[in-house]
Amino acid sequence: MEIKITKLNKIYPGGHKALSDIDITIREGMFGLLGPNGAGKSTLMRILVTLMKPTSGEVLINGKDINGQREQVRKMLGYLPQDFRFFAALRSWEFLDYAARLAGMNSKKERRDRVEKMLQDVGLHQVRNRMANKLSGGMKRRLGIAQALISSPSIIIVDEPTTGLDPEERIRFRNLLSDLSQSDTIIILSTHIVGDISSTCNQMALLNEGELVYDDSPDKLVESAKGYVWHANVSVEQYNDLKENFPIISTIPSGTGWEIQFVGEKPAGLEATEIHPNLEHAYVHFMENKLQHWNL
Amino acid sequence: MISLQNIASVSKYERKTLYRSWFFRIFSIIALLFLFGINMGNFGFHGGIKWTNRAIAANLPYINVLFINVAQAIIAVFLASDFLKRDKKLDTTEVIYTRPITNGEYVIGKTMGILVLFIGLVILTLTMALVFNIIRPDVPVIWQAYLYYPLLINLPTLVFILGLSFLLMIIIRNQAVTFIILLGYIGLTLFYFKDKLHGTLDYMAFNLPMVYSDFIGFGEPYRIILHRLAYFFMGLGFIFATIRYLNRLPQTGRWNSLNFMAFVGFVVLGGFLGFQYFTMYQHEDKNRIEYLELNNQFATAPLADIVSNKIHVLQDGKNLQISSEISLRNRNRDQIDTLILSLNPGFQIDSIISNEQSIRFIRTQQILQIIPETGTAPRRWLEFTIYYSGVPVETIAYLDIPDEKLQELKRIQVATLDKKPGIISADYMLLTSELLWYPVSGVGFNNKTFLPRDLDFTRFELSVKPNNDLTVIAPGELEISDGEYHFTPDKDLSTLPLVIGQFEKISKTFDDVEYNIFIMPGHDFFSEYFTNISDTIGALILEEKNDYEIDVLDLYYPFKRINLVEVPIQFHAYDRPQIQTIETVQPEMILLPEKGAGLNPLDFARYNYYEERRNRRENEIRTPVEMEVRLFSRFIESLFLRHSTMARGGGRSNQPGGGENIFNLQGVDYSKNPYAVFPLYYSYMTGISSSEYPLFNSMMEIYLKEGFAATMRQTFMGGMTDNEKANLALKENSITEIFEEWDNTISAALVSQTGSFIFLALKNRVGLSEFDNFLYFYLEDNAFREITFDQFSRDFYREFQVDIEPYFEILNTKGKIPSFTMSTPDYFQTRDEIGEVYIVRFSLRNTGEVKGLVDVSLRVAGGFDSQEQRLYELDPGITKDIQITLFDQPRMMTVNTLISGNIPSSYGHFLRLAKKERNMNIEEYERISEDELSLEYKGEYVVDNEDSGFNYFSVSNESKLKQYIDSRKEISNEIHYAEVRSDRTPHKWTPVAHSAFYGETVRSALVTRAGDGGNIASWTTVLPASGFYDVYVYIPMSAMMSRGSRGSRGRDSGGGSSRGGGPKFADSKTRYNYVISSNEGIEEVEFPLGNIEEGWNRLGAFHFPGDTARIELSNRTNGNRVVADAVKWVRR
Repeated sequence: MEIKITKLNKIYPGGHKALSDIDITIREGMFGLLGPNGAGKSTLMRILVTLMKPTSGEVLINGKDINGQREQVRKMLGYLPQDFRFFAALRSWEFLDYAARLAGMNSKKERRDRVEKMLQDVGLHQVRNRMANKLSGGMKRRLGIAQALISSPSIIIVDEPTTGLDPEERIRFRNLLSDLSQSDTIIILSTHIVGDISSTCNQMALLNEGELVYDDSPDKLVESAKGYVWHANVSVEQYNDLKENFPIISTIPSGTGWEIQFVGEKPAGLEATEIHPNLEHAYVHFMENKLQHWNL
Repeated sequence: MISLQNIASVSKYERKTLYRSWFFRIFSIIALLFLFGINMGNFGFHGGIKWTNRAIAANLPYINVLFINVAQAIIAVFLASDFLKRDKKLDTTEVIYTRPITNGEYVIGKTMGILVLFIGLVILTLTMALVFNIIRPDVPVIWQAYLYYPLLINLPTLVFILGLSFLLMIIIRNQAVTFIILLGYIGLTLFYFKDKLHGTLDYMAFNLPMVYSDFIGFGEPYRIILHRLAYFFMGLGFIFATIRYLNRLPQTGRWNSLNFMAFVGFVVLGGFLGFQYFTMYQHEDKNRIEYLELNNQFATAPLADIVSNKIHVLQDGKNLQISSEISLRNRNRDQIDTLILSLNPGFQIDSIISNEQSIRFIRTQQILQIIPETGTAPRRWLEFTIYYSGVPVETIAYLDIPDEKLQELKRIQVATLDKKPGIISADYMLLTSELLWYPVSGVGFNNKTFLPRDLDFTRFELSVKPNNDLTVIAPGELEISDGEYHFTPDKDLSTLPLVIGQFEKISKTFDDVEYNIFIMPGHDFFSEYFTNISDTIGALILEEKNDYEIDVLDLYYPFKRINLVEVPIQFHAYDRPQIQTIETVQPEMILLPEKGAGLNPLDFARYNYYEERRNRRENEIRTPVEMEVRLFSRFIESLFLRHSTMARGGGRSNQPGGGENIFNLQGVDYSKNPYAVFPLYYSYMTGISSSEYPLFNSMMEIYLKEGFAATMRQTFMGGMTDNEKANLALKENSITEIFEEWDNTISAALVSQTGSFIFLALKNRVGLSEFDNFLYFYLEDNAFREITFDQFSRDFYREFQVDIEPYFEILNTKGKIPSFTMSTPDYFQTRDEIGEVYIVRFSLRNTGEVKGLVDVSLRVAGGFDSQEQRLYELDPGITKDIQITLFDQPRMMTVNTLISGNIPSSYGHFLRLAKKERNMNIEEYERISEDELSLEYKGEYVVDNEDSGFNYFSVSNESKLKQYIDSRKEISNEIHYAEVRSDRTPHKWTPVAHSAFYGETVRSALVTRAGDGGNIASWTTVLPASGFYDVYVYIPMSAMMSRGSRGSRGRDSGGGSSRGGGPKFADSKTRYNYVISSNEGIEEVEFPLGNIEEGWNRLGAFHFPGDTARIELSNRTNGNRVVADAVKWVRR
């Protein structure tokens, strides 16, 4: 199973170039797509799920052209969009049944079993008869992933899945995706929450202003930030000075000043301790130093 | 491949979603409750429910389907536009869009979901209708109607509106805008387009005639199917357009072009069918113009009289094979080289044979030109047989009826009826001469001779071989042999109707007249109401007949039989102002609508219900026999003997003498009762033909029917009478112009007005009883043949030595009519040697330019019918002093100025308190006076509202929208005096007319609603000298009456009130506010109307300079309205 994206461009009618010469190959496992708002993540996602046509370039999913063979591609897809909150007046099980029917599961028994299983898997069996629009935000998101998985797709695309979820729901959701990534499936996770990727993805890409700026593993990105992440206790004056020159990752007030983490070369004369970077530090470091993107 | 599974899945969940929406549920519940109410009201069990509503059994599902259809069309717009909006808003749709379904499967699935749900609602509605249908024992279930109506009405409507909504939503991309546009479209089709362009734009079929007859089913099934398929296919086209342009990437590219082709294909197909539907009518309209042009072209060709016509008809389905053996005679002075006959253009002439030789002929549409080799010499006969066949067309009928009248919708409730001039189907044929189903001499209606057809009495014989088992009905003695019906009419007839259908016959003979009822088997809805009088029904009929013949007409039924024939509900006959016959009555035949639908006098159940209720309330006990006798008499009198369309003692009326319109239909406005038997007594018996005075026959008919009665207003609310409108029209237009441009009622009034003028003038000249004696004998002597005007004129002269032609000048008096001024009558009581003598004295002046006639009737003690009549002829500029002497006490005097510029044209004077005098000259006289008649006395200065010294000013409080709507209303310059509703007095000063108002020839005033004083009327005059003047205002009390409350025992003021208490002065608690002004100052006067007298009332004495004086009346009052009439200053 492979998604091969070559020279993909998308220019909107107003002239805005949303994607520029994207080349990525995505294989089985969990693939994280990271980037700031407006980087082109959603555009790429919508092209991948056949909701949008690219301006140029090629997307082959297991050798099938996403434009010429939409029907075959759609049969392989499971999609959870970003804003999956509004439901018609259907019960949870009905919604899944509807999705299953449209995915081509014609056998009533097979469909029923599959719906039951999915409801169990996402922990919604208790509320199977509840109207979907009466579910909590987390439950809705779980129902969303359930409908995406109902036909056992070989490609699952989830767009900003954890936005708006409480930490418990977020962890539960990440685990669900991790479990799925064990099978022969491609899961594409688009997010701007770095933690979602660090905890689940073995591959990632970073988009910025429509361009692919990083395409490798999260570990390598973290590795590149080593020696650039610092912890320090600073006075108010020092803090103000640092803030002007470095991306501050965290700020905790202490008795007379601030306890901070920042990314960059250690300033001379400042008493600071190097700390081990995580993906968030690495992302900031990459954006700051490689792309000079970080907005101080 | 299209996956039905996918369509079913989308449909199922769309259905579920919609079904669970409160919007749909509330709508459905409201719609069903509303329909339940409609059904209870129309088909429920209350005894007062009108029979009309359920007489046509198929109307039960039809009405239900129509109502739910309109509601669904509106709601479908919302749901359809909502589904696309919802799809846009909800990301759930994106997960559906990424599924492997095609756009077609998706859109079709959604459409099916909505459709199935709505069809479910229709089924529920029809189930409810069916329950009512089954429970009502007198309404049989027409099963096919339960299938046809939803298929023909709901399905195309829903597919069309859904498709249109989807498409507009795709194009406009805004639900609110789409919704408003579509609602606007629905509103337009319901309230504006309606039946415009023959209903082509009526996608809901709300105005499409779809009433289903038990006899023939739909009137125009082919057109209905065309119309409905047009919308169905257009809807499909729009749905495919939605698929094509849905904002989702298609599954594969090849569907795109297929969808586009389907879109274009279906829209083109729908458009083509719609165009076909429309052009069928256009083609007919074109044909009608062509027919009329042909008639005009041949109108003045010399005619031969068809003396006899032996017709043989072979019916084969709808097709007729006819031979017509004609014998005709040239009654002209010159030879006729080409005989002009008319025959329905649907027939093809197979051959014309005379003495075994073919005769040359030219056929152009309805015109058949027969060219005998040697022509037809004067007084010579020609015999030939025309063989023709085919299916007659309906468009040849009623060429004189304007298009807007033809297209006017006729409805039972909301169910729209066809208006067919005849019925042409394999199961039922109704052919009248209007359809020219047999050859007639000359042409039909044309602009030159003005009449729909010539009078031509012919000796007919008719043989008909109908389709299997069908019965044939026609005038004449019947013999049946070998399934062939042979009719030999006893008399020569001017028209020959033919009816073929499945009938059962109920027949009785009384007093040598055979009374037949022909109804469809199972359609006897009436016998059960007359079970107790079945033995005495003959006597009742004879009693009614005798009363009518002796008391009303003084004419006798000339035929040996009368057939009441049930005809399909689609049959419609038009009223023509220029003749008195309507096609519903034929020689020996009255054509009644299927199960009496639409006719109140046939609503026996309802009448019985109200009668019983009234009896209970008034503790009156009536035996079943008495009840049935009353019911039967009412039926006969209302339906057949009344000449107006008012029935006797309507179901809701508490007064048997009250009444209601005989029609319970919308869109019918007959000026005379189309079922009245009168034409059988005169119009089908004889007639006076005249090319110069074509209206004379109609005047004769009116005279024989009812004389010429003046109509009088009770209050000023009623606006102008038709007679006054006719007079005004006559002042400005020729008769031909009036018939062309004015509506039917005015034209009918014109015939009546001119007729009354001519007849009364002649009667006045030769003596009232002498005239009648001559006329009745004359008509009897000339029964069953045509009388020419010249012949009548000669015979009249021979009898009375009076030339009648000068009296007809009134018909050509464009721009010149008389006007009359009349003094207030003086009323005296005196004695002679025998007893009391009553004298009415007045003066009358003709202020017009031509001779005029005034008819004065005095109602004397002894009942409503006791009248004394006087006629006064006045040359222009002549004043007459008149004294009428009576030996019975008069109650009221009615003055009818006939054709005149007077408004009102007739007015009444109550004669209440006579001045008692002794030694009066009681000789009745009519003297020419040298004095000019003036209503103003010396020293009096009168300003009426019609005078130049009168002005008025209104402040409009109406909204801009109302003002705009009013400004768009067509205002006829001819109609000056308004109709004012008692509960809605106008905001502005509005002219009204009534005999109680002040005026010389025009008795009018202005009325306005009470307000803040912004509306001001003012009377201004220049007084000759300074000094004190008494100021009087004219208050027309008797025009300001209102009816007493029901049940109160008000005094009988003589004006007559048909129900409730007597009329009373409605403004007795009102106070008017006058301002008296001159250059000496202003004085305000509050004037209570509590204790006033009819006419002039004194405001007080005021000092005025010898200069302009002015009185103002504003609408600031404590009452509801203010009436401004006349003011006078009287020098002290």
